[in-house]
Amino acid sequence: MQQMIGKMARMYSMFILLGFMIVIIAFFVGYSNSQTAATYFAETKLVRETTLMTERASMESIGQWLPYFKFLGLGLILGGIVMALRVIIDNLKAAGEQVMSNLPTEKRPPMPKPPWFGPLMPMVMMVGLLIFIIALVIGFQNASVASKVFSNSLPVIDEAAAGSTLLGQLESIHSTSAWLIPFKFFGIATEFLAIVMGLATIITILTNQTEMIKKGIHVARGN
Amino acid sequence: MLNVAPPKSSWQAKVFPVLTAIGWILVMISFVIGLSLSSTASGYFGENTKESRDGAAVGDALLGDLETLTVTPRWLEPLTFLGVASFMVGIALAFSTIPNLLSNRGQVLNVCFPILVKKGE
Amino acid sequence: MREIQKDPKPGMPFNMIEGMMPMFPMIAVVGWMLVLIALFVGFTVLSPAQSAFFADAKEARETAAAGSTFVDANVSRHVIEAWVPQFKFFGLGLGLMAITMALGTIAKKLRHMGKVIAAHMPANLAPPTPPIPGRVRMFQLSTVMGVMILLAALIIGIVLATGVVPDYFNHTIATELNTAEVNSELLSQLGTVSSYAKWLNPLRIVGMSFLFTAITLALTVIINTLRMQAGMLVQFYNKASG
Repeated sequence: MQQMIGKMARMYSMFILLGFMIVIIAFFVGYSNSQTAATYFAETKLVRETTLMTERASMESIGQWLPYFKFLGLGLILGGIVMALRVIIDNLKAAGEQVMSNLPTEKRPPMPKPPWFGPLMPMVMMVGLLIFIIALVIGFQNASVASKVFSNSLPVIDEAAAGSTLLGQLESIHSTSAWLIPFKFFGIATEFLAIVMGLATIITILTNQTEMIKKGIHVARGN
Repeated sequence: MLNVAPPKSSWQAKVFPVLTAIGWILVMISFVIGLSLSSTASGYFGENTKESRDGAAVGDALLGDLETLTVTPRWLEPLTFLGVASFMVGIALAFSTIPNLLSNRGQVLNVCFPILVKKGE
Repeated sequence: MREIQKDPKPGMPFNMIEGMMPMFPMIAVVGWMLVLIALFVGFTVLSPAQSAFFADAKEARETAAAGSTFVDANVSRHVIEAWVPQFKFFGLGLGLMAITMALGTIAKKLRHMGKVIAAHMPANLAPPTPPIPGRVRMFQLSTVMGVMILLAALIIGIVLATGVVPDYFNHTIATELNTAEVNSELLSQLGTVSSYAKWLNPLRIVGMSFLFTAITLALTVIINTLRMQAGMLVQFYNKASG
C-alpha cells in the first residue's frame, strides 16, 4: 500500500498543473460572469427585477458553484505539495540507506521507523480533497436550485409565502451556504495539517539520520 | 564512475520566485481596488437613501456606482485567487526541487563516507 | 570528532520566534481546530439563522419589529458574517505559520547535520561553518507580519460584530432601515456595514501573502543549504582524493 502511494506521489506535478488550470478557468468564468452582471446592473431596478431573469439566474447560479470550483483547484495544488513531500521523504530515506550501505550488513545500524503520523499524511490529504469534491457537488446542487429560483421575477420571489416551494428553495440556498463556505475552508485547513505532518516526518528522519551518520562513522572506525 | 558533482540548477528553482512576485502583484492590485470599492460602497450606501438608490435611472451616477460595486468583485475575487494560487504553485515548485537535491547530496555523501571514515578525526 | 560549535543566540524578537518553533505541531492543530469551530458555528448558528430569516415572505421579514424572530435572525446572521470569516482566516494563518516553523526547524536540522559531518573531517579539509543566512530572519519577520495582520483583521471583525453590525440590523427593515434619511446615524451605519468587507477581505489575503512569502523564503534557505552542503562535500572529496 505504502509503495503504491509512493509511486503515485511521483505524479505530483500533474496535480499542481491541474489545480492551477482550474484556478485560471475560474478566473475566466468569473470575468464572463462580471460581464453578465454589467449588463444586468446597467438597467434600472424595475427593468432588471422584472425582465432580466435569465441574467440574474445565470449570475446567481455561477455564484453558487464557482467558489467551490476555485477551492478544488487550490486543493489540488496543496495535494500536489503533500505528494511532493512524500517524494522528499522517500528520497531522504533512500539517501540514508545509500550512505549506510558502506557498512557491512551486520554492523549497519537499523533504519529508524518513520513516526506514526508519517503514513497518515496521504490519508489526511485525501480527506481534504474529498471535502473539496463534496463541497463542489453540493455547490452544483445549490446552483441548480438558484437557477430555478431566480428564473422567477424578483417581485414573485419576494411574495413567496411561508411553506411555498419557492421560499423553501431560497431558504435552502442560504442555509446550505452558511455551512458550506466554512466547510471548504476546513478542506484547506486539513490540507495544511497534512503538509505539517509531512514536514514533521522529515524533521524526525533528519534527526535520526544525523545520529545514524555519527554512529555509522564510529562503527566503521571500530570505535 | 562515481558521480561527485554539485547539483545542477533546475528550471523550477528559476520559476518559483517569479510566481511569488506575480502572487504579490495580483494580491496588491486586489487590495488597492478593494480600498477603492470600500470607499464607493461607503458613499453609495451611507450617503443616499434607499429611495434614491432604487430610483436611479440609466446613466445616473448612482446606477454606475451600483454597477461598479456588483461587477468588480465578480472578477476581482477570482483574480485574487489567481494570486493565491500563484503563491501556492511557487511553493509547490520550490518543494519539487528538493528531491533531486537530496538524491545528489545522498550520492555525494555516500562517496565521501569511506574517506570520512579513513581520513577523518 | 571535533566539538560542534553552537550558533549564537539571536536577539529579540528572533529568540522568541525560535523558541516557539518546536511548538509547530500544536500550532497546526490549534489552527485546524479554529477552522473546525468556524464550520461548527456555520452549521449550528448561521444556518438556522438563515433558515429562520427566510421562513416567510419578504413583507413579513421586513415589517417584523425589533425583538421578533426575524429581526433577531437578521442580527445573528450579520454578526456571524462579521467575525467568523476573520476567525477562520486566523486559523488558516496559524496553519501556515506552523508550516513555516516546521520548515525553519528542517533548515536547523540540516545545518546541524552539516556541522556533524564537517566535525568528522580532518581539520585541514573541513570547510568553515557558513553564517546563518539573512533570509532566516526575513522569513521569521514575514511570518510575524502575516499573523499580526490576520490577528488585526480578527480584532476588527470582533469590534464590528459587537458594535455597529448588531446596532444597525436590530431595526425593522421596512419602516426604519429602508426609510433612513441622508446624514442619519442609520444610513451612516449602513455605509460602514456595507463597505468593511470590501477592504477587510483583501487585507486578510495580504496577511496570507506574507505567510506564503515566509514559506517560500524558508524553502530557499533549505534549498541553498542542501546545495551548499553538496558543494562542500564535493570540495572535500576533491581535496581528500588529491
